[in-house]
Amino acid sequence: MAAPRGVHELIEHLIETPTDRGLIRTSPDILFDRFDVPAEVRETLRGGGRDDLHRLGIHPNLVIKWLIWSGRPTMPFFPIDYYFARR
Amino acid sequence: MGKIVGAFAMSHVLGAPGGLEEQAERVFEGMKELGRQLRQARPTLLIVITSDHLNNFRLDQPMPFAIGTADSYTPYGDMGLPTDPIRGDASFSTGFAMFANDRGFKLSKPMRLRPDHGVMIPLGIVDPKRELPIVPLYVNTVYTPGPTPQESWRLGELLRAYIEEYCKADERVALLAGGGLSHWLGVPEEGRVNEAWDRWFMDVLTAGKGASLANLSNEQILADAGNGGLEVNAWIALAGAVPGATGECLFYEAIPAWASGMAGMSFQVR
Repeated sequence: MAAPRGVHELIEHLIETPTDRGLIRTSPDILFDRFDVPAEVRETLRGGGRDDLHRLGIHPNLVIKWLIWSGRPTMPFFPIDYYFARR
Repeated sequence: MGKIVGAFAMSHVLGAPGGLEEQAERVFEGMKELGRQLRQARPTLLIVITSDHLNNFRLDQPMPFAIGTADSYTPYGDMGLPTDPIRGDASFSTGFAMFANDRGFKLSKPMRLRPDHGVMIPLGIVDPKRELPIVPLYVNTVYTPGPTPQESWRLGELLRAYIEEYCKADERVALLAGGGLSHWLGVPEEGRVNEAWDRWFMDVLTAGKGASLANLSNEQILADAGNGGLEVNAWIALAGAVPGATGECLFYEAIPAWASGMAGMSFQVR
């Protein structure tokens, strides 16, 4: 199943442009409009979980990134220094 | 002629230790032991075979196999990883890319590359002082269709041939495969770990029978080890570079909370 129009391009843009990631929480429609994301999937992108995004056909690695930047990660954050400070 | 002086494979992620501190520590200590053994081999060059996570590659420009060809890389910095530059080896990389392409194996050379955690977690553990130049060699399993086990094995064969035929005589090369083992990521099965399959996979490698893994299909791996488990193609590439080498499991922990079968192995290179 192909992802909805513009969604992969939108997330790939955010990979390359970290400064735009904040828009997901503050003004997601700016991003959706810029990438011409269909209206019928925007609500799922705003609030859906992993499985909802998977059902849309979004690539799993991009699902994870979108959820992290949206503040809905599937796994808890941790400071890498918990390990790296003890190498 | 250069020489492969060490071959190792490990999961290329770490996770939150909360609630599973002892298990996390066993993984971390296993990774550190792997790093100690790698450094003990006194390599002059480290080749990290791994998958990117679409931080450097785009879905509309598939590069199932790729190699970094710079003399320096600035890490991408995902997972809060340090972004201090790391040394590369453009001469080795461009030479190997030409060698592989001349033999009909398409190895892409992305223009810009900022290694993500697929490179930087293994590298950060095994070379904490950043003393070694590295070559990031990508088996990008994020694509469908992706690199097959047979192609990955062939990549390893070519890598060994290049090292033996074209590297300078005093080059001591260590190989480090990253990724796996079984995990399902970004899909409804996330959190599942197939420990039985992971142990079977490592048993095959331990016995020096990695060649048989080249006969797996990605469909089989996907069913048994998940979409993230396809990263074992990096391990199969490594096995192709050290055919017949027996191995030792340095650590294994099934950690559903990290959505991963966490493993590390060392191989007896000849």
